[in-house]
Amino acid sequence: MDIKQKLKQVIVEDLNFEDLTAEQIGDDEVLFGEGLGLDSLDAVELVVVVKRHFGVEIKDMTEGREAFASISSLAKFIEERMGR
Amino acid sequence: MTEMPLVISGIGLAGGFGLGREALVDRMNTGGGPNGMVSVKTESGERRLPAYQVDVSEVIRFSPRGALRRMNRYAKMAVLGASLALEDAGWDTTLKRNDVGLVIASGYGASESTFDFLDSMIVDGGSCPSPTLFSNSVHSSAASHLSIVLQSGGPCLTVSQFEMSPVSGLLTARQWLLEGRVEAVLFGAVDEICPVLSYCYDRFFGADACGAIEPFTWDKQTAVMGEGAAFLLLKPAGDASKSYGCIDSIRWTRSREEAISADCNLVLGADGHTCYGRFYRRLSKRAANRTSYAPLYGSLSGGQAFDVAIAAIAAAEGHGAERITSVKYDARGSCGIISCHFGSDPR
Amino acid sequence: MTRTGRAVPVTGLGCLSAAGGTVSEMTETLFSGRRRVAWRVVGEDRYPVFELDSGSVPVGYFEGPECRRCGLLAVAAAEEALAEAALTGEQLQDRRVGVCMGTTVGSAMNNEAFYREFRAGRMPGVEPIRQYLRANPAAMVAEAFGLTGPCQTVTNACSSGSVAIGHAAAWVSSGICEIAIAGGSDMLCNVIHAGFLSLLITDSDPCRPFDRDRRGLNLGEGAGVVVLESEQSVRRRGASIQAWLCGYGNSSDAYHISAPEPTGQGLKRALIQALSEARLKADDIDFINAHGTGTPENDRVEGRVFPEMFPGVPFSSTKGFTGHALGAAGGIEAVITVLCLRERRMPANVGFEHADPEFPGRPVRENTPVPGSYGLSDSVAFGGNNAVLIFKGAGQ
Repeated sequence: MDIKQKLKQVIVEDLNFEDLTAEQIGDDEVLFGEGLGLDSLDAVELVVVVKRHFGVEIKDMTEGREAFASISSLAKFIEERMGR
Repeated sequence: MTEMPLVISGIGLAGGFGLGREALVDRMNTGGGPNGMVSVKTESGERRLPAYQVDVSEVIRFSPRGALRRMNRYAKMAVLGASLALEDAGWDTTLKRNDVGLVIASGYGASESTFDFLDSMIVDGGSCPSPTLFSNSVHSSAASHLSIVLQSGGPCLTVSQFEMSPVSGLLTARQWLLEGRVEAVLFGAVDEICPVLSYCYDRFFGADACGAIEPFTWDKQTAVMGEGAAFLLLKPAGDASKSYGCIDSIRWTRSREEAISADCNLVLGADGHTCYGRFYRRLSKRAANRTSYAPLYGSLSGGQAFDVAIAAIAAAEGHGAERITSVKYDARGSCGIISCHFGSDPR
Repeated sequence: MTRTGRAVPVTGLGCLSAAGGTVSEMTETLFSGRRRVAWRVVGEDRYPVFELDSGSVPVGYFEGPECRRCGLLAVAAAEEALAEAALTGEQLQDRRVGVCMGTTVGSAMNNEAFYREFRAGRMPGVEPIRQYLRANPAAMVAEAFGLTGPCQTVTNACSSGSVAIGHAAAWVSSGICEIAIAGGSDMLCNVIHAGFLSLLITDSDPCRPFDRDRRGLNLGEGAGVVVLESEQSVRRRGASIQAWLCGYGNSSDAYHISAPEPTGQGLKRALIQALSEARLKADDIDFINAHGTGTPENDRVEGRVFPEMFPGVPFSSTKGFTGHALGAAGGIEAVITVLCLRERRMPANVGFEHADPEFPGRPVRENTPVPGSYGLSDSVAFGGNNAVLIFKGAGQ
């Protein structure tokens, strides 16, 4: 499964979106605020989710902020760091 | 000491008997008893223990879906109980959101989330503890979720004093009303069963467990685990359109039974635990009239909130006394005494 | 709204934290500007913590079960406070004495060793649970001094200590008890530390409340306790009054389970409530002991609310000396607020260097004289609970 697809799936499962399916999340949809509506607690949970599923560590939110813009940007961030 | 009668203007119950007044009354008529089973691991394999369990799925009726996404069972029980109390009181729209105080009394807090967070610390070599589970693991998480769902910005307390949690919380609820700090208090006890508590329960009492609470059998352990939420919407006297009656006095004492008048109708917190049995036994000898409602809702720390709520409903249904004194002991011999009169007669 | 407007005498203070094992040790530390930072290694990283000096922990602290430590800290602080109040064991037996104690760790059934065994299916013995059932902080204080009045262990997260004091004062003023021992106690605990690390609000350097470059809090531990007493009891036994608790406010943000409401509406409500109860105006307040944890969000809220509501009133956070002791913080800071009134000065906000352009509030950089009589302490809890205490100095 490609990173984007897996990301969508783990967001739905690990952030407890009961009414949302992975297919409903667009690659470039804004994740925070408007868009998917994630908030500050989801942001730190997403740090854990990314670490658990992809082994990629996000040390702080300055680093995270850019990566968390969308599924595409987060997938790119993970891809660049996986297996390092 | 300043006494002030508190009008009970709404009751919200979630327990093994179901949700709300009708479910409770139904169970009163048909006879109480545990509605579920939990399994625990023992030396001799799995053991099934009876339990009073709550189905929280109806919380969806009271909370926006978005707010439910991160809500644990403990908070869902609180939201259910509190909302049912507000609904019972007819959703009083004159109450402003910042003028309602919240008091939550809990013996063990968010026990399931507490251990789920530990799980997240332990799996994956301890590198991925979950911040969401951590936020939900603190005792105050139910109060936080509840204040968000109700958009209630008033004062808020979570008290954790084991069996004495309800009486301790009620002392503060009355104080807030007395000071004019709030116009109403949503007071409730919330406790949940989780696998660790079930395991501990079995280790403490398993061999003696029998499946049905016998509240007045003093020398035998007959407690059955319970969970749920019991909420009261409390207002100052003369300030409620609907009323079950009043809580007239709230006392905390260690002076045993001398403080309790023997000629009143006692609602005893006796719930099948032998560790408190000796206190109730002594009191029971002098009592003209005694009742225990524990067989309806189970054995749990917040039992005294259930006792007051159920006594009010029983009186309203013509099943119970109009004047009662609820008595709850803890293992140290502390005693919470809550005296109430029900019915529409003014004091 | 009607308010009692009744002030409750404070007759004793007790405190232990990384800043010292007694109130006088802490006073010295606070005005020396020196902080004692310890480090804890978590995984590959190390984090500053403000732990109690081994010389200041109560007897039997490390030897007994861990779950009793919060209670033991509360008992130790209560002992110091009762000694200052000159209340003997005998006098306590004769009176109706209540206990209100805030905590986080002290009420949590999160015994890690027990749970590891449990989830591995090794069926651990339940002795740790039995101990936990006997370790309720308020009940431990009541037991230690043979008290028979009401107990309340407040678990409102980081505002618990302040809330406990506010409620205890009401118990005294309404006659539920004559004397109340109130405050907060908490201990450093791996589970809680892991939780704060997961929230990414922990600074890997010593914390910098209100500083532009602050990155979060450091955890601390300890207990802070005040003795509150009815005027009648004070008069009857000729006790001396250290200060008066004259206002308490409490509110909920109703906003988010972990983040504070950014405009500070909830905090303002608690501040207004406390001022109203004390029958004071904002400009009557002479200094503020801020919550000031050093997290970006917390300090931003206070850094906006203080200049708006209390223009020109000096404030500082003492978390740079004590760390964030969670449920104990409100207790410890209530003690600090009273000792500042007593000393007629407030400590510099250690850790603050660069002003943050995002908000106008600037804490004091130097130890600063307190000319007046009113000190305010606020607590802003995780989950959106806000608590405010206003103390009046004695004899002013």
